[in-house]
Formats: sequence, C-alpha cells, structure tokens
Amino acid sequence: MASLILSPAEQDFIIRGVEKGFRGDGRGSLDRREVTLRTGMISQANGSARCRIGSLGVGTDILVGVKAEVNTWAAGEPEECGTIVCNVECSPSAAQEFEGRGADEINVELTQLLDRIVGGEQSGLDLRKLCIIPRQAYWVLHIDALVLDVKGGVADALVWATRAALLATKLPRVVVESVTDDSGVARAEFDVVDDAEDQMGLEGARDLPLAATFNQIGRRYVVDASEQEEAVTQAKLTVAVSPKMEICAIQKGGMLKGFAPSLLSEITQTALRIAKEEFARFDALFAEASKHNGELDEEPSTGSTFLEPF
Amino acid sequence: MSANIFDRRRVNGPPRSVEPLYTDEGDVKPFTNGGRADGRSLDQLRPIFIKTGPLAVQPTFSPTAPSGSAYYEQGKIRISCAVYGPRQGRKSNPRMGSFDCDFQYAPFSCSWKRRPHIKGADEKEIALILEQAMAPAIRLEAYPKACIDAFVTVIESDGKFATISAAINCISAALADAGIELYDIVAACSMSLNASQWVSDCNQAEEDVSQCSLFVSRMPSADEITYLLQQGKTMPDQTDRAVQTCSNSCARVYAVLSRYLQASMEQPAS
Amino acid sequence: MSSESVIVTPGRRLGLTQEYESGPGTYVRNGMIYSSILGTKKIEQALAETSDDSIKRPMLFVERQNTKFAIPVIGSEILGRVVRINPRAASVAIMMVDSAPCQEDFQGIVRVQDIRATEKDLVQMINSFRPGDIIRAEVISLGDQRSYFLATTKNEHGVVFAQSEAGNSMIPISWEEMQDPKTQTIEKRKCAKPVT
Repeated sequence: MASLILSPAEQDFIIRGVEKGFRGDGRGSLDRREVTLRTGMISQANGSARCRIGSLGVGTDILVGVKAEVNTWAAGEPEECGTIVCNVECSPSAAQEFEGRGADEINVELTQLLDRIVGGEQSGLDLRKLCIIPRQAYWVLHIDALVLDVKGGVADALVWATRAALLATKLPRVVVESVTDDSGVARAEFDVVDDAEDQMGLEGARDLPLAATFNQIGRRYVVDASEQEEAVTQAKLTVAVSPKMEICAIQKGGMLKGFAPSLLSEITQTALRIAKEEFARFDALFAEASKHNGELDEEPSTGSTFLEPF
Repeated sequence: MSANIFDRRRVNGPPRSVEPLYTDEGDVKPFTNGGRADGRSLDQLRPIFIKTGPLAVQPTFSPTAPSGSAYYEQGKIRISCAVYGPRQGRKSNPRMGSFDCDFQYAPFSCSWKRRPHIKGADEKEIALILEQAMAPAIRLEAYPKACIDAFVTVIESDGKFATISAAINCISAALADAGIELYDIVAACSMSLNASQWVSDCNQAEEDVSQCSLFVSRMPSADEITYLLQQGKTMPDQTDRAVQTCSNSCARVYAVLSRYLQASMEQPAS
Repeated sequence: MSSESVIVTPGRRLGLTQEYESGPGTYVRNGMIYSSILGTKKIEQALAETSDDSIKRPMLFVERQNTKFAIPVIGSEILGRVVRINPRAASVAIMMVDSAPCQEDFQGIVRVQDIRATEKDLVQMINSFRPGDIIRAEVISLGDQRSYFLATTKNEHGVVFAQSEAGNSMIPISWEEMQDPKTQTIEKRKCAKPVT
C-alpha cells in the first residue's frame, strides 16, 4: 500500500490511543468511515459502481466496471457454467509510486484477493445461469476495478464496490433455439436480444459477500484503518462474510508480525457480529444509489454525472 | 510422414505404425468408500523429507553460491529453495533489512494447464504470501540496510495449498541452513473441507473436489500464526475448528523440521 | 569454558535472563533467552570479576561452524577494494567485515575529509588511494541509499596492499609513501600502519 512515513512520536500516539479505544478521527474501534456509493455511471458497461470509504477528498476511491462477453466453449473448460475474470489496477492518480511498473505487486495482490472472494462458486453467484448453451457458449463476466485513491482500507472498498457493481449488472436476454441444418443435425443457436429494456440481473447476486479488514495495532485491533493507522499496523486480516453468515475467505496481510491464535478466533467472531450491520448499511446505500440513478435518467446523460463531487 | 515415401538414404522403419496399447487404470476418485486414495487417515500428513545444503558448491564459500539451501519433499510435492544474503539491498532501510521472495513453478510441475516460462499472477501472489508468512520470523533488525532473498522452485506440485505450505517449510529450512537469525522456524500445513469433514494435507485430486481449502503457518515458540488463507465457503465454527486442527498439524511438521535440521548439523560432511 | 554439545534450532528456549547473559546467536523475549540460529549451544563461564559489585552471569551463545556471512555494522573494521576515485570520494567494494566474509560485496564510500585525521583540507585523493588498492577502514555510518560511509582516519587504517604503475606489489615506507621494490619508484598513498 502507499506507505506513509510517520515519526516515532506519531506512531506511539496512534498505538496508545488504539489500546485505550481512541482513534484519530473519533471512531470506535469497530466503526467504519462514511461510505458513499454510486452505481450505473458507466453506460458502456453492463454494470458499474463507484465506492468511496472516507470523506470527500480523503477517502479510498474505487471504480468497478462489469462487462459481459460471450465466449465459445473450448475443451477442458467447465461444460455448464460461465466464468468470472477479475482484474484490479491501481491508477497513478492514487499515489506517485503507482506510476509505471510501481503498482505491479499491489495489482497482483488485489486481483488475487478479489478473485478469491468473488471469482467462483464461493461468491454466491449462480454460474450455471451464465451458461448459454452447454459445451458451446457461455457468458464471461469481466470485473475490472480501478483504484483511484488510496487512503487505507483498499480491500474493503474493493469488495463493496464489486458487490454493488454486480448487483447493478444487467445482462441482455438470450434466446436459444434449435436449428436443423441441411444434413438433418439439430444444433442449438442463440441470439442476444438487443433491447435495453429487456435485461435480467445476475442470479445469486444477493449472496455476494462483503469484506472487513481488521488491523492489529499494538494489542488491539481496529476495523477500516485510515492511512495513518495502516502505517502503524503490524498485521491485518481480511475476512469476507456472506449474507448467510458463512465465511467466504480469510486472508492475512502485513509483514511484521503474526497473530496469536486466540486473537484470530476473536476476529472471526467479531467479523460475523458486525456483518449484519455492514449488510444493512450496504443495502441502504445501494438502494439510495439506485434511486439516484433513476432520477438522473430523466436528464440527458452526459459525463457530468461522473464528475459530480464525489 | 506418408507411409509411401521410401527414403533410400536411410534405414526405414516399418511402413505402418500402430498406437501402443494402454491399460486404462481409470481415475481413482478421491474419498471413495469413505477413505483416502492413498490409505491415509483424515488427519494424517504425507511423509516429509528434507535435505539442507544440496545447492552449496564445495568448498562452502564461493562468490556465487547461495548462503543456504534446502530440498523438501512431502508425498509427491518436491520443492527446492535457495537463500542469498544478507547482501546489499536495493531498498535500503536503515532500521531493518528486507526479505524478498521469488516463487516459480517449473514448466513440468503442475497438473493443470498453464503457460510455461511465463510467471503467472498466481506465482506472483504466492511469492507475496511467502514473504508475509516468513518475514515475521526473521530478525530483520539485525540486518539493517541489507536484504535477504529466497528463491523457491517447485519441481513437482500436488495440491495448491499443500504446495504453498511445503514452500514455507522449505524456506524455513533454507534460512536456518544459511545461518540467518530467526525468531523461530515457521511450519505450515493445509487442510480441505470435504462433505463437512476437514481433511489434512490434501493432494490435487482431493483439493479439486473440496468446497474449501485453508492453510496456516505458525511459529510455535511465540505461538503466533504468521499466515492464514482460506478459500471457499464455511460456517464460522468450521473455520475455528480447522485453524485449531491445522495448528496442531503445524506442531507436528515443526517437530519433523527440527529433527532434520539437527541431524544436518551432526553430519557436516554430507 | 564448559560446553554442552547440544544442537539447537532457532526458537529453542535456552535459559532465563536471570541466570545467563545472552550472547551472539540468541535473543531475549519475556525474560527468556531463545536461540536464533541453527548451531551448538555453548555456555561461557563468567570471568572472575573484581571491580564490579554485581555478579557476572555466564554467557549463553549459539555457535555455528560454517562461515557466517557478515554485514557492515557501525564501528566494525572492514577490508575492501577501491573501485573508483574522484576528487571528493573513493568508492570501495567491502569484501570482509571484522574477518568474516560478505556474501556479496557491499558498497562503501570514503569521503576525502575522512581519509586523514589531521590537515583534512590539504588531502588529495590521487595521493591517498588509487583504484585497485586494498584498504582497511572503519564503518562510521550506515550512509545513504547506496553506500556505507567509511573512514581511514586511524593509523592502522589505510592502504594495506597496492600495486605500482609497473604492476609490482609495493611496500609501505612511511604513512604517506609506498615503494616498488623492483623499480624503486615511490608512490604516494595513505598507508596503514602494519600491525605486529
């Protein structure tokens, strides 16, 4: 992550504050910063969302676009499922060190993290519904995330934005018919209905997980660390929880220390406890974003929706 | 080559060729009859073999030889690791040294299809995982401005998570062989969830049919878990149980690692 | 010095800090001494202490036969080879630290004001070091991104081995001159005082 250099005095201040339960911006140790969610700002994509965790100008900002493409089946691929391909890129506008090849390592790390959480059966999405004709054609969803600003808590913002984008994704309807060609062999052919109104959402998108990252600072841990808190973090754990309270993925990060096993189980318990509130908060924000989207349809859609103060 | 072409300059083979007869053993499905294909019990690990110092050039000090190396086998998994350092680092931090890890699959090592000779995203991610798992165990404050590099090559892989755990064990052995100051040896072990049962140390066939895979790497002396990775869905109490069982398996792996390292010191000329 | 030949792996408990001192190859955590390398556990008995009131504890350390690679530490004496010179500094490839070899040459720099202890402003690089000389120096600072900072201010530090322009090994004849025994030419270097 973009590393901030803090003086030993600042580090001590943050560590001792966290151990007593105080954080720099007055939050409780399990409180997340303010989250802003917008969907549908990219007209060319099947689904898009932008998530900012933190206040205007000092937050982690991630833009996710979902594009669906029809792929021809090749031998060796699963026969009755579609696939999901994830890609995360950090834009140099987030930090100077991301310029050129500087972001390669963090891109790989975030891509694999996202793939682990949403890139398969464990995401909750019904991949079988993404199959058009078994052994012939299937939908592949390209999830592309662009990290626009990094101010701590990238993994969480990434998963929130991806969940919003997938919930907002609309796939065009496909009509499959059986065609008999000259030699009498019946084949299945499909046709994509080119109607903007006739689109369906993704099956199982409601089961997508949300992630929370727990940073260990001193002997306590906090949720959603700010940039300064991340600079003092010894180790962090990202836990992805589904709406059905299942644990979808756990990944540890951080190079300086390990976790005591008791702390580990405490963190997983806490992750489940706060999951309910997180989902409620997400649903409220998403509903508001969709409503906001609906209002904007009345105006001519130009790029100005994207440039709104966000 | 057409069978009709007759090359007068060479000794020709028979004009007709036939496919050899294969006896189809059939894929042995894992977990049939409630047991495992290789007869292990659910919490039994594959046998481990370690040799340190195979990559050292005799005499031991030579400018291009690695400071330490190890060869690790666990069942069919074969991994080799070389450690260079401490040497001048590119990112010189005056407070502590840096630890870098490079991981690569040999082109013939994996059972799944991958583009050979190109480092894929999974190899880069595993390199980051190995760094994060091993760095807490190294006394980096003792090596300011220096860097320690570990290069891991997987010669044969059998189970993705099992291979990552084996790589961690291999790097631990190589670092100990290099004489680098460590807080403790890191031992790692993997498990997979199959039909609501946790099975330790699964090979590729068993991992493919499991709903969830998990691995834990642990430093027993400080009782710290240096890395935990779970992929797949579980109920929360299942994860807790798995972490517990896996930590116990790590303790067993640690005992094996210690025994091998002690034995390697007792016979210096092998 | 009594020793027990027990081979220990890193992370093994060796003793309590109340009873022992921790020596090289060990570290202390929570009042307990642990080993930090793979080697033989050894105990060095305390030397008879007369002036100190406190009773000196025996030292616990872990020893390893194979060469252990060293890194430059502030205050250590190094042996290095001069790679490049310019009027302000000499680049040195550090090859040995305190008689332990380095895995790979580290990079060091001797600034012109750190060559001599007296008359620092009158020092000229071309009369102190030439590329190819082997020098003994002391590490004075961890330095910047690329190099350690070295100094040859002490009498025992300076050029220990150099070749003349004719290609023969030279012998030091004074603190600032070396002589080629075959051609009898004298070249200027900052020489190290030979240690008896």
